Amino acid sequence: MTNPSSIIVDVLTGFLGAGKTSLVRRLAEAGALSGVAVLVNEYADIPVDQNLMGLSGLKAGTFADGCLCCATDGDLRASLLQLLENRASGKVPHFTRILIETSGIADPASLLATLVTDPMLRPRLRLGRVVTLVDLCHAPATLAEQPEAVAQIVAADVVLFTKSDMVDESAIEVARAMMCTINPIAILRECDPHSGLDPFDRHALETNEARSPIAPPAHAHRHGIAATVLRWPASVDWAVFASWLSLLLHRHGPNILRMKGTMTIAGEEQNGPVIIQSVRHIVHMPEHMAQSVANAGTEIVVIAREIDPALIRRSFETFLAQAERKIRPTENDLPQNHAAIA
Amino acid sequence: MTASRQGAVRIRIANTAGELAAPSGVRLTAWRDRFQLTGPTGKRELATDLAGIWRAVDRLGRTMPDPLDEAFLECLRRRADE
Repeated sequence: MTNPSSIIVDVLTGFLGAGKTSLVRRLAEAGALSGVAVLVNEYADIPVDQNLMGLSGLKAGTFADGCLCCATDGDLRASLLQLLENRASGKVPHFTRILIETSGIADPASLLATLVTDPMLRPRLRLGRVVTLVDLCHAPATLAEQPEAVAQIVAADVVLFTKSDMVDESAIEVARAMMCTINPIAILRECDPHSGLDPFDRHALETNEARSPIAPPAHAHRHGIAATVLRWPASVDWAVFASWLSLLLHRHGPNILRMKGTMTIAGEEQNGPVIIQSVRHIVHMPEHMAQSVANAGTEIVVIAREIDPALIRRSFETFLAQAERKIRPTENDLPQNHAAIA
Repeated sequence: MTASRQGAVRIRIANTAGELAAPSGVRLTAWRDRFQLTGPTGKRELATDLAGIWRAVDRLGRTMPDPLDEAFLECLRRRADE
């Protein structure tokens, strides 16, 4: 399980011109980034004052409310390590959270993989929320032409629509339908600059992880992407699930774009369900849900590309069913080896 | 996790992953702090985790197991009925 004292890393992504920097500026002005280190790519229009501090490869400045803002040359791993070192040595103001604003043409999957697997970062950081901005004026064209834009939506926990005042209601509905097809896990909101909405505020905007049951995804295909829900009515033997999932990701990892849901692990029923999630072939460490839900079984949404989702569902159900018949747990077979998938 | 508990988890993983490796003719056992895989020709390899297990199964086995392949799933069903 994750270290509760680790620093939460939130990620803000979205295609070029979607309004990422404007959102950061608005959050800073509203005081929502106090105690937060914002790491932005070098191409962004950094919303800090001109009193930048030289920090061994990082440029950084502070907002009036104590938010630290840094620019990186694109090597986010090195920048994060430098930031953590500077925090430990007191070279930068103390911060409790990091917000990474990605480049507009970035596929966030590689960043998320670094956060989850890097041996230097993994013990010190904990992945928070991925928020993706979608420019309603250009969404259909951007999604049709730019695979990075699709990848940004697939990775999202929250999708915020920007520039809603520049389109009519039908464009918003079209965009909503597209998002539900590409990522039925994500929560969708319009980003009204006057609303004061902080998409990283876990209390103000709860993601689907606290919902049960998970809403069924749209099944229409777009960009070769389709989703399904894996369901199992009882608790699941972790070794069985880990074996199946690891083989699925080994064989089809690049096309298993995203998994997210809840599972009750056999032998740990008293602790409630855990949140299971992966981006591409990288599986996050399972975490127990903050809020318990009544459903004690398993519900996991899988978003895949160029794979019939029914095949994934059938494979999951077949292996769990045959494991129940064939493989009997022994007394000491306890499901604590959560990292075994990695 | 204690050493004995880690050992028990390794045995459990060996059993469950072994079911998926069996259609390829690969046998899987827990061996010390690793997994030992034995292919159909008797050739052996060691792996430290599940990702390593599947890479070794691909090298040792008659076929590369695909959990989305109907023939593979049918093979699992038959084994469960045995």
